[in-house]
Amino acid sequence: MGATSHETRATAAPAGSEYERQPVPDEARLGFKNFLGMYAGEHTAGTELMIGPLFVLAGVSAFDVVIGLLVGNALAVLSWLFLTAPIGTRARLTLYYHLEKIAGRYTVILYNLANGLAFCFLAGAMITVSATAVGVWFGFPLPTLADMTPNSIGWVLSVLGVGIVITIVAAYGYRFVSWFANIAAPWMVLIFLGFGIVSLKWFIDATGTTVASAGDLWHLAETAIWTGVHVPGQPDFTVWHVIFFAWFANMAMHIGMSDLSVLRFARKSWYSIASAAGMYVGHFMAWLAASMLFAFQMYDAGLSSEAAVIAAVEGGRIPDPLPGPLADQALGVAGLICVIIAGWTTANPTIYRAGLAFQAVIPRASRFHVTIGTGLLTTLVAMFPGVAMQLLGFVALYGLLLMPIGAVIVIDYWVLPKLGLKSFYAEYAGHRLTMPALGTWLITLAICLVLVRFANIEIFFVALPGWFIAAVLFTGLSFLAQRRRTVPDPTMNTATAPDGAITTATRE
Amino acid sequence: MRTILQFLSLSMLVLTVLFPSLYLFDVLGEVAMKWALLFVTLIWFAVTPLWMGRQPPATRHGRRGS
Repeated sequence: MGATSHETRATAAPAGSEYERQPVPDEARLGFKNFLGMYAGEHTAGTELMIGPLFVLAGVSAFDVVIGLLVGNALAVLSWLFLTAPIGTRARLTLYYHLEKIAGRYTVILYNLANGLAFCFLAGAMITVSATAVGVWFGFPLPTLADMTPNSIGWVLSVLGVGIVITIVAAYGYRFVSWFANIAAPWMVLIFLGFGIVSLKWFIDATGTTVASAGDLWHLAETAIWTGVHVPGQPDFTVWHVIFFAWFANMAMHIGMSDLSVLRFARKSWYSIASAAGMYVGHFMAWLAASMLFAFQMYDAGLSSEAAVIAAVEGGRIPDPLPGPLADQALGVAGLICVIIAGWTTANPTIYRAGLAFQAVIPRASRFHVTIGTGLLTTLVAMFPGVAMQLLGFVALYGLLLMPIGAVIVIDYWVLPKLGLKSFYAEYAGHRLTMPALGTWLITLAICLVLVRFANIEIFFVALPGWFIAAVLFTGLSFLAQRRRTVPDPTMNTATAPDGAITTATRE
Repeated sequence: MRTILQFLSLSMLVLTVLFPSLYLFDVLGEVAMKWALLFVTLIWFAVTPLWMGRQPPATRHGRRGS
């Protein structure tokens, strides 16, 4: 990742190189444990503490959330396994270099811009999460579910403080945070488990239930924890919503192919199954635990029936899904530390990556200045709690935004050669921008937005038909574009680039 | 020395789950559980950096979150 920050074109990579413009050689490839550790730790983030409670507000039942997350996360793992990893371990290129070969450098710049902006909003939500923990200590009014804009000077100062610290660290000491995040990850995962255990205890005490079997536990889950009561004004989730949300929460990484940059280091394609550790720890256990914390607030306020919830909405008495107070109530100071670290250690690399993405757009600007600017933009976003409160929709939008590029990469790699068309066409033709890729991206997004706006397809589902639309569009547009040009080299496995560099991507 | 530190870290991870579980089964009160977890947290962050190394290249860019 961060491929565009370096311009190493040497055949032999220098020491410390991450092979940003060449395939990863044999000696740099990594074993299964590396990927298991990475995926297991990185999906337990500050935003999980928002997503869990938002599921409860969206009215999920126990069946919806448990079965939905089991199935949706399995689909996410299969996407890594069958879409991302086979290309990543054959081409062994970063997403950015791979895309540059297909669509040209200018397309990569546009991709970076879109990705950078999306990262700013995601990191903003993470800062928001951390700031709610700071609020517990300083006692200023925290945002409510209905607040879209900053609600107090204390909130603004808190976000500003957290944001500035994160930004400065991202600009100066990024490697330290990366190392610290690695240390915090195992502890943080178990603190999340602690949230679930403590909230289960609260439910058992409050309901007077005796849990002697799995059946008793399921009965408690159905009748008290995830009651399926939807809060008006929030998305209304069924099991299908949960399946698609879990599947597409990391869409940018698997179907969107951003993890080509990671999995190119894997010795074997199947190592991508390690993503299951991230999904079932972060997007199953952590989401369930976080949602249980908030579900108890709802239960404790007597909001377990439609009538009670409607009355509470009208009276403005719906509890606010604020990670800081929830964590404090469950595990005290250790919980608050977890919220701050979870937000910090994920916001930091996200700001760093957004900075790299923007730097690729303005290469002459220093990374330091771009990171500072990016961090300040992210901090500004974090001041608006509406972004975090609407996180379910934003996560879906983020995946959708980058999904067409994933379809372009899959079709370019597997389908175009079978149709007698050229892969890596921009490199072959010496184009800095190719209409098939750019057209596919923009037209697909336009069609998806029309489907959402006028065909009543919710944003959580539209990426699935969108992928097939992108695939068909890219195939058709590639055919039209390449038909105009005589292709002198009939081999598909090697292509001579205009600058004489030989691409080494092979089909196995 | 490294083995002792690793054992200490592992023990802290076990305790991170154990204390909430003891609270669940009414063996430990809520206040005691919270103080114990804070203690475990401090020990974890004091000991683990002494032995845990840096990440391999593929994972060098840190946690990405959701």
